[in-house]
Amino acid sequence: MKSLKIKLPVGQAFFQAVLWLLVFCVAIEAFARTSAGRNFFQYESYGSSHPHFDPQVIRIKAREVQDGQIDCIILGDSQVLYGIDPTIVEQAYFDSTGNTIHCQNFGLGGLKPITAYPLAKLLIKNFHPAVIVFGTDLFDYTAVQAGSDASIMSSPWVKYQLDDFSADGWLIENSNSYRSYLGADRYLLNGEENANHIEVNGHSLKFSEKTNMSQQEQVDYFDSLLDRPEITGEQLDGLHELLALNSAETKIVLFETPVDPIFFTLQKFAYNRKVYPDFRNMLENEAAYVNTDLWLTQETIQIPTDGWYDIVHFNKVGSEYFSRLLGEHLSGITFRVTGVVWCGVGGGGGGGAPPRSENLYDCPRDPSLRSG
Amino acid sequence: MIQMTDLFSKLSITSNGFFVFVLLTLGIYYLVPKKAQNYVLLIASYLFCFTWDWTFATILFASSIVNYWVALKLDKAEDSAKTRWVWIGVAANLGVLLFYKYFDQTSVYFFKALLRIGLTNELLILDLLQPIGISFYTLQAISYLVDVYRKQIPANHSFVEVSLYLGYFPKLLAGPIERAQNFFKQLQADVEIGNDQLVESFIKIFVGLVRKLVISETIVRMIPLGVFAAPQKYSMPDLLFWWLTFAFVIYNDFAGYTSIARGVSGLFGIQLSPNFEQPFFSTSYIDFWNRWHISLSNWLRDYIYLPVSRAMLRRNPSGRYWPNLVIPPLVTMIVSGIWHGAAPHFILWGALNGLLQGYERVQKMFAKKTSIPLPRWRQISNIVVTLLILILINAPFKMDFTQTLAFWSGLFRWGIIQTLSIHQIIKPILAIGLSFFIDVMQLPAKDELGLLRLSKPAKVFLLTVGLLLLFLSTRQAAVAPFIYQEF
Repeated sequence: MKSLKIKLPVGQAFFQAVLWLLVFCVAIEAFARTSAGRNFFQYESYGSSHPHFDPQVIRIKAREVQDGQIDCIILGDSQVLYGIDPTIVEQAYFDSTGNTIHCQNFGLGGLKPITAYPLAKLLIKNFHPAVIVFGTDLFDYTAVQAGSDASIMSSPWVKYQLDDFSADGWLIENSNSYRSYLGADRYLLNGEENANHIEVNGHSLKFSEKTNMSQQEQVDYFDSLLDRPEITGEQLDGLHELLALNSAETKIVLFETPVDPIFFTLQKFAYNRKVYPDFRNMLENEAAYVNTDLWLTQETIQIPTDGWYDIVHFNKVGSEYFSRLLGEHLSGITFRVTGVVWCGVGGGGGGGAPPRSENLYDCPRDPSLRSG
Repeated sequence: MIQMTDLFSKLSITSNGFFVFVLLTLGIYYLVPKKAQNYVLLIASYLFCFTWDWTFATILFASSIVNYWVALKLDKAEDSAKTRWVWIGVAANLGVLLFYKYFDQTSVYFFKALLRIGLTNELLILDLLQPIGISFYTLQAISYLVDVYRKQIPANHSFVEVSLYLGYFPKLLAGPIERAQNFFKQLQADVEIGNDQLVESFIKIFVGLVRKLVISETIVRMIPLGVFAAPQKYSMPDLLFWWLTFAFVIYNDFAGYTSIARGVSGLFGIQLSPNFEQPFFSTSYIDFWNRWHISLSNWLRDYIYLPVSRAMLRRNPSGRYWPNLVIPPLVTMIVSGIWHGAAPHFILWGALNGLLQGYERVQKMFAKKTSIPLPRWRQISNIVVTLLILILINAPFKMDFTQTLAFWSGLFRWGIIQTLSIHQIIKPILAIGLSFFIDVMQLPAKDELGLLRLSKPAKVFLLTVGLLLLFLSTRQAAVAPFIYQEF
């Protein structure tokens, strides 16, 4: 009853349009790769709707270009993002050991161990750090904040980096113009407010003073974020997987991000007083299992009383205090690259092959590449 | 890698899986002997339905059997028995629709009342899944039975054709609501698909995809969360801007769906009815409803409005008796509201639109008759005022009763503008501009084929831009379901 009678050629306008589109894409990509193009396209995105993910990826990439190598990445949630200043960590490390390291904060609000694991894999694959320092606390295992994690893992680029191929992921990885388009699109959606407060080293100074919320409001707010006062298996599995990445190439180090002791007065904890000791034991067991370093801080260090932004996050005072302690603590940990390392440009002086070293931190660095 | 099960899971007509499915079906459709073509379409339609849920296909099959059988009974029955059979058929169709679409929605109110007076201590919610397209194919089934009852068409003796009339996959999700006479004729006709038909179908699909993916989806992503859920928190500029933009979301979402469905169906040699004729250029409320969701408006006109009108005229035949002018559109639009959903805000939406139409009829009756056309500025101001009033009174279409009241009162509240920074309004404004551009292009012939009438360079340029926009839009997050698919 119905028959097809198509005479070729058909759809010439369409095929011409496809051709023009290809020409346009090639031209725009070529332009985006020039320095003029890089100046013209101001924004960049890696396809995640997480407010901190794009700025953090952009900053760590810029830092790698600037310093040649990222030695340590401090990974964690908002407590890390707002609370750890890598410049102070680097300084404290240098003061203790005389060696220079380059540390980058990769804190993302709401990051949980289940997502920290794939992210750590991505960071190791792309930046080959000697150490990943993961900051965690009881809140990571008890709170309901799945939204942040989902927005990170939904990025096609993250998936692509974790060997889940997609055209989108490939384009984000390889096309400057596509990243710029996504960045402009994101700017039109959110504006710039999420990126501006994050420094080149990945640390945010947004929580520099003290919150306007009263202590009771804070207690009520964080209480509402808690699911139940029990450690969830899913997050525990995430931590387990993360620690399993510990290797001779990249050491995974664990530290506890302290909270104001008032945090433990949250109503939901009243139902299970044992939850904190359980959490501490769990961390100790996990760290011992992969024979890595664990720094428990909640009961061993005293944060200055004016060092809190709220009952969970440090302000500038607390951040400076704790970052110094973290740097000093790192100085006591062995996280050297055990293989032969070729030192970077300018390391050996003169011509020929650069000097070889058994120790990454013995390699002299080119002062012009230093961040200062 | 994409799994085959993911590709063909819940086929939406903008998904990659759907277009693979259409290509496969087309290949088989034109390869099999002509007598088997309708069988291919039927099998494809049921496979399409199966990808959503096997129970949906079962319900559709049961509905096809009942309507096929009742229509045959109607055809053979004596006049005295015909009325009984038509009521049985209509009741069976409405019964299924009421059960699946309205039971959970309405039982909440019923059981809450029982709870209040202490006659029960729990709510009975069945958590029924609403079968896809049930609102649309139920109306088609009713119109088929009524047309057979009225002897406007004979009962169709082919079960395949009746089943296809209800379940034909390009129109299954959200129409257009076809008439049996037109649809059966096309199933039986010998049609040759040449270059022109192929290009026309392609343009319809292309324009539909641009409307849905580029315009509607772009605006939807920009609308701030909570602006319609908690309108009391926003001030007039925020509410007004986002509600106006949402009108373009609904329009382009549904017009986009219809255009794709018509394009895909055209590839099989079956022309589905148009649903839109540039409704945002309407000069009056009645004009708007003749240009918006035309297939539903026509159905409501033939099976609700005209019977009510006739009944009213039988009681009082005066043309100047105002209830004759107000009650038929009011009843029709309230039925339309209930068809959209059982919630009270849909009834409010229908009543307001019905009253507007009634008011316009009464106004026209008393207006001086003149043959002088309105000056251009009056025509344009009529279009703008009509559009604004319609958009504002249509708030209950999206918001529940309390939200609607908060929205309307918010229109008189001037406060801090929260969501209208320059960067936030650029994309919606560009998308609305594109929507108007497409409408203007389609206006002369009132169809989706305006692009075809342009010069070749203009055509190539617009196709290039459209393809680029589509490419960028389809790279985004998951596409929201079509709004009318939910009804």
